[in-house]
Amino acid sequence: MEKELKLMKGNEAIAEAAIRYGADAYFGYPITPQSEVIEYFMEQNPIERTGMVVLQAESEVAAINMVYGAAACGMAAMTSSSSPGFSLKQEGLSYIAGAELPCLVLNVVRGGPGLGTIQPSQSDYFQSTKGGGHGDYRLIVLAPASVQEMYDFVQIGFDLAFKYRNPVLILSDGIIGQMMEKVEIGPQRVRRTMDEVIKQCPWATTGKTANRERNIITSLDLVASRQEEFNRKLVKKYDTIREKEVRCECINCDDADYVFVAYGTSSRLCMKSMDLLRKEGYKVGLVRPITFEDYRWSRRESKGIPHYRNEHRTDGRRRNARSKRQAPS
Amino acid sequence: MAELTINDIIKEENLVYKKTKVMTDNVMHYCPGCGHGTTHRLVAEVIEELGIQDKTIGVTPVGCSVLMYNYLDIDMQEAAHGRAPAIATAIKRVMPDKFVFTYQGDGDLAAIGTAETIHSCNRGENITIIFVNNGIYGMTGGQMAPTTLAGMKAVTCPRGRDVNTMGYPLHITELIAQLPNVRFVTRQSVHTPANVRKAKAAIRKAFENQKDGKG
Repeated sequence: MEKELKLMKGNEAIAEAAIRYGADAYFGYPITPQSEVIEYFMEQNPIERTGMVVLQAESEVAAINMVYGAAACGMAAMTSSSSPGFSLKQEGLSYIAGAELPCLVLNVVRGGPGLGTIQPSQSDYFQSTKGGGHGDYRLIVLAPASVQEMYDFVQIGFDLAFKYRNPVLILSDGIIGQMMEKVEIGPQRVRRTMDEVIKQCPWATTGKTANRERNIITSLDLVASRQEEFNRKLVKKYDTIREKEVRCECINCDDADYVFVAYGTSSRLCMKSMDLLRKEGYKVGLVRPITFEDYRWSRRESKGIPHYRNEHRTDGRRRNARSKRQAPS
Repeated sequence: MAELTINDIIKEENLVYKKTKVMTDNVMHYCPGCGHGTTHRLVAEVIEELGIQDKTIGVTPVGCSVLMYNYLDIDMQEAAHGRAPAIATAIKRVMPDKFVFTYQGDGDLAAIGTAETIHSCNRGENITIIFVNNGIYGMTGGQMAPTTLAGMKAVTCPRGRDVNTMGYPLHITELIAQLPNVRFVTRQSVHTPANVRKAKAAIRKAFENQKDGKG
């Protein structure tokens, strides 16, 4: 079958990916530099294409709570924003993490703090990796470095979100969101039927039928010992995610004396620097973390080489493209 | 004539009232005299009478009724403070055939959640919002609410609500009634048996409106 290729902005690619994934709902609020996400959705009218609900909320706060409501019904729901707006979503994310709901959120990062600038930045790293809201929870964070990955990470993200019942964040930035690149588009998946949703998510509030107890979605427990038990359960879940879901790309690392460590847009810049340095005879490599929060550094003698316990290369196409470009050293 | 015993009276044909099966047997945590217990019962009875227990999803607030999900035998979601109408919006949008309601106090609905309340109503979401107004923050210990009356004392206005510095009680019901997409707004009380009946009729009408797409 011939591949379907399109020239798209990162912000458009992620919206198209969500429709093609068979996502059930998107709730958003405009903010530069990610407004194309909701604009693309509205233009595509996914309620006609797949039955997916798209709604412009009155605020980022309302949007993330709409995600909570839809996710609690077992739906594949997502929202997107950029840094100042993403801060507003932290309360909702905390509730979503506390109620163990699956969802996908996108932050197209811009410079800060405060209103900051509308130029791209990687400034929300700590907010993304250390929880962001109250209550010591963790997100699963995926950092795309291309428009193709903006597209691909929607499926990976939703799958991880449902596997672990945890919010997944795609941590992008203004460059990845705004720039246009060639994207290979996947086939349209059919949205799950209500029966399939109930089968996949027996915990969801889909209406209490006679054959089961009522389902309650909450992050509240007034009994301190039970809350502690729940927090221990969360820690265990986060440990499992760290153990099993680490993704990174290592390029030219095997013979490297030096390695760049960079994610997202910065990794693209480092890639070019690496190529130039290799031409000059320096053995330089690049480690590009894709998931965050798991750096088990083990310094080799005098050379700062990171050691990953677990390595998943993401994408065959990209890896092959890279290996061709490996400069002889 | 033989004297009546209690067992002669406890018979099916003499039954005039029983607890709806939509309510659980959990003991309520509400204070004596509080209207929440009555209002919970009315909601549960309406759900039973309409036969929609398996199609109803409730959203509970932050406040005294935060634990409402312990008392109603239906699927429920617990919302962040003030956000219940946003959550209910999403539930109804992704499952339009379900009956969705929020149950909110005055602080939740008319202070921290004013934006969600007004905008969900302005969009004409096909949901029911049950607003339980006691004019005070009860759970946190008697602080001033947006609906606290002028001159009324609360722990955060110990000399009474001064309308010049604290504003007048917010007439959120009248504000909502101005919005063209809102189909049915009513104010009811549960302090006398007659009013309880009227309140139940209002809740029933609100749920029936959802069925007709006029929530």
